[in-house]
Amino acid sequence: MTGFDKRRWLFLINRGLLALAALLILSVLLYAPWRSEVMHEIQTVLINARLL
Amino acid sequence: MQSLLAKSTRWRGWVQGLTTLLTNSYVTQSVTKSIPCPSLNCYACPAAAFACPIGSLQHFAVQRKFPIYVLGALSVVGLVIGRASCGWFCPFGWFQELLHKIPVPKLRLPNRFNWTRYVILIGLVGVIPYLTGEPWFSKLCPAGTLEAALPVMGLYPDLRAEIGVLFWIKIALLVGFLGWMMVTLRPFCRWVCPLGAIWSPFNPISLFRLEVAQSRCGHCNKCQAVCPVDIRVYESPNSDACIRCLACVRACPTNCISVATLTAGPAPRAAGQPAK
Repeated sequence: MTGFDKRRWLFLINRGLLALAALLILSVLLYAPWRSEVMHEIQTVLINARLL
Repeated sequence: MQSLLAKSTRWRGWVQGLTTLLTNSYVTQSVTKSIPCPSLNCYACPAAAFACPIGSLQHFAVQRKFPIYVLGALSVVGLVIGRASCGWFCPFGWFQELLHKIPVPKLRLPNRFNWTRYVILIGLVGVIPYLTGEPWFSKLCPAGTLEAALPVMGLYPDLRAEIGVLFWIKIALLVGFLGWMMVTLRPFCRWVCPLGAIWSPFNPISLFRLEVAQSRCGHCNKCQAVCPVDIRVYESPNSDACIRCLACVRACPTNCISVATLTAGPAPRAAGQPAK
């Protein structure tokens, strides 16, 4: 594999994963039942966080 | 541009201080606290503006749910800037660098065992919370003890009655790390931090990256001498341990290390003038 090819593959992996990560976030933020559940979950973490 | 980036490293301490204030700004809590913080900052800190991503991951492990949102947010950060957040935005990283300025004898350690952070990520953040139903990394995290447990104890005297053995274990761990931070630069980032472990694999494929013009490199090792995580940059410019602080870009006498973005074409050439 040449240097150019390797860089091109890295570029494609980066863009592919970036699209996937954006899809993960958007699937939560745009779908109201998931959004309210996840936001509630994260807020609940805050309550449980005073760890003694 | 390269010269500007090299010069910007002089302001890194100020950027770290500013982001420490922003991530603990208190006033934005109601709006921002459901957003995972792009650095290790305890969500139980009374002033914390964001949610700790590691605490959130453990919470979902405890709930036995896949952390779609948190992993998505962390992946976007990692894919764009790699571990630059560790070098520029992390309050606990900044704290470690400040402690290291205390004039005591220093101990330089090689990166030989820095895979331990992956073990901690899988064990204390994933498997153990999943099996026990308790967020064990958060229970022991020295950043949490410093930013949350101690301030909370100070602010709410009623809670002091609940102090148990775990609290003293946390304090002992914190004291141990404080001592280690004084003699070794960023030991928590290098051997422990599970957030760094999540972002580490993104370094080689992140948009923001380092390039080395091998033809100009004299292998003088000045990059390694200034590197807070002890990397030989000319051998591995996008090492998984690199926190993208850019100290090497500024220190390189031949200016052969440059900041680049990952594009489909060939690597851009490094800038010609040495950074001063």
